[in-house]
Amino acid sequence: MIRYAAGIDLGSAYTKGVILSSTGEILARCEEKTGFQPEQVAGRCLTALLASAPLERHDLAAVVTTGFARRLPSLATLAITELTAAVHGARLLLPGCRTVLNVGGQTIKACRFDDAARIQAFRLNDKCASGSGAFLERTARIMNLPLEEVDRLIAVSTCAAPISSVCAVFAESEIINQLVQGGLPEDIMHGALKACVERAAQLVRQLRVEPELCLIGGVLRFQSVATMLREKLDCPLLLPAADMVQFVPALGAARIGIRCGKRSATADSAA
Amino acid sequence: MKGYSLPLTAGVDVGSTETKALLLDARGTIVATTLRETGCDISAVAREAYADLLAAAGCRVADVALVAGTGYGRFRIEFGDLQVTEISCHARGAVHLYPATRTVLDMGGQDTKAIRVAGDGGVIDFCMNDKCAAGTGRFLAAAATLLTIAMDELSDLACSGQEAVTISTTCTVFAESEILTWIARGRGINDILLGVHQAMANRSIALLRRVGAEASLTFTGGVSRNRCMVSQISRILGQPLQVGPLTHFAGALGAALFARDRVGNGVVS
Repeated sequence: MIRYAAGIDLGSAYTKGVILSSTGEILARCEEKTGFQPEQVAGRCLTALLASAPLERHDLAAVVTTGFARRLPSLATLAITELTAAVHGARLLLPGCRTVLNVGGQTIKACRFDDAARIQAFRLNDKCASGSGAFLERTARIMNLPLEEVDRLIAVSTCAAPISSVCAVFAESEIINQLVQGGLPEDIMHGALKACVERAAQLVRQLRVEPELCLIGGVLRFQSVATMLREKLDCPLLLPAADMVQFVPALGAARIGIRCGKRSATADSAA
Repeated sequence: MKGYSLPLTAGVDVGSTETKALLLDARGTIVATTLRETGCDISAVAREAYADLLAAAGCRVADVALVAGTGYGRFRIEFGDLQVTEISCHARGAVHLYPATRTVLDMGGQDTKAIRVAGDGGVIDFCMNDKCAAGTGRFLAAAATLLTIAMDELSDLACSGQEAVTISTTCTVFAESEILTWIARGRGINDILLGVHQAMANRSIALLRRVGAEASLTFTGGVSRNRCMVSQISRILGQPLQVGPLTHFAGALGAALFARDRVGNGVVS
C-alpha cells in the first residue's frame, strides 16, 4: 500500500511544505512567508498541501516539522532538526551527495554525513546575518529592487562593488554611500552576492568537504549564486532542480515521516 | 567683551551618525557646542557645524587658533589643522569633564569602545566593537525604526517597561525578527524596548570586562543621552556612572584640548 507523509519546514523567512509518497513521488508543494505566527502558517500550509494533493488528513502517516520554528506547531507528529532534514532530502534527490550546503534566510549551514546519513560534522553562521538571505534581501530593499531581478542584474554587472563591512547592518550604510557616489545597482548587488558566496565558502572549507557537495536553500534560487560558488569552491557540485532548492529540508522531513509512520503502523499491528 | 579668553581652539567630531563641534577657550572653559546629523557629505557637514559653532559663540574665524578633527570622518574635514583618533579624544575629554575617570565607555552610532585611562587622560588600553552593529547605537536605531518610534522617545518608553523580554540573538538583523516575534505574542512595546536596552547594556559590559574596567566610569558618546541605558548599565555593574549633557561631546572636547596643547606649546602664535 502506498503511504504518504507531509514535511513542513518553518524557516526564518519562508515556510515550505511537501507531501511525499512512499514511492518517492512529490504530490504537493506549498510556500508562504513565515511571519510571526508559526502555528497558523503551518496549519494553512498543511491545508493547502492536502487540497492540492488531494488527500485527507487521515491519509498521512505523519506530519514532520523542521526549521527554526519546528517545535511550535501542535499539528506535528515529530520535529527534526534542519540538518537531519536537509541530509535526508538531499540524499533522496541526489543519492551521491555527502555534504550539504544550505544557504537560507537567516542561517547558512554546512553539513557532512556518512553513507548511512549520519551527520559527521557541521558548521553554522547562527550568530550573524552576514552573507545570509536576509543580507541579500536588505541589499535589494535599499535599492528598491525585487529579489527576482538578481540574476538579470548580475548578468549585466561588469564588476562587483567591494563591500568591506562584515555586518549586514553596516554593509547597508556602505551600500548607500556607494549609491550616492554613483555606484551601479547591478555592481552593488554583485558585491553583496560575492560577500554571501564568500561567507558560505568559508563555512564549507572549515568543514572539509566530502564529495559530492550538494547546494540547497532559498538563496540558491539565484542561478548566479550557484555559478559563483562553483568558481569559488572549485569542486564538483550537485544542484537539485531549480524549483526544488528551497524544498529539500521539507522533503527530508516528509521522508522521515514515511519511515516513522511505518514504524508506528508496525507497532500498532503488533499490538 | 566676550566672557572668554583668547586664543580659542575647536574640536570637530565627525561621527557616523552625528557631527559634534565644540569651542574651548584658553583657560579650558567650554564656550559653545553644536550638533548636526552627519549625512553623506562629510566635508560639508563639518563646515556647517563649524560655522554654527562660530555663530553660537559670536566669534570670528581669526579668534580660533587651531581646529582638531576626530571621529571616522576626521580626514575629510578640510579646515582641520590636526587629526586625533576618537579613542584618544574620548579619553581626554572624559577626564577633563570628570577628573576621577579611570574607564570610559563610548557608545556611538556605529561602534562601542571601552577605554582604560590614566589620570592625565592618556589611554592605557582599549577594546572596541566596530565589526558588528550589535551593542551600538545602530541597534537602538534599528529597533526604533522597526517600532516606528522616534529615537528620543525610546528611553522613556523603555524606562516604563515592567518586565523585560529576552533578546537572545546577537545580530541586529536577527534581533529585528525577534522583536517582531515578541509583538506577535502580544508583549508591550515598553517591555520589548527594555529588553533591547538590557541586551545592549550586557554587551557593553562584556566589552568593559575585557578591557579590565575600573571605577570610576564615565559614559560618553551619543547613547550616553539615553537615560534607560545609563540606568541599565549602572544597575548591572552595581556602580553609578558619570554622565551629563556634555558627555555626548567628549570626543569633540578631547580634540579641542589636543588643539589647545599645540597652541600652548607655541606651535601656533
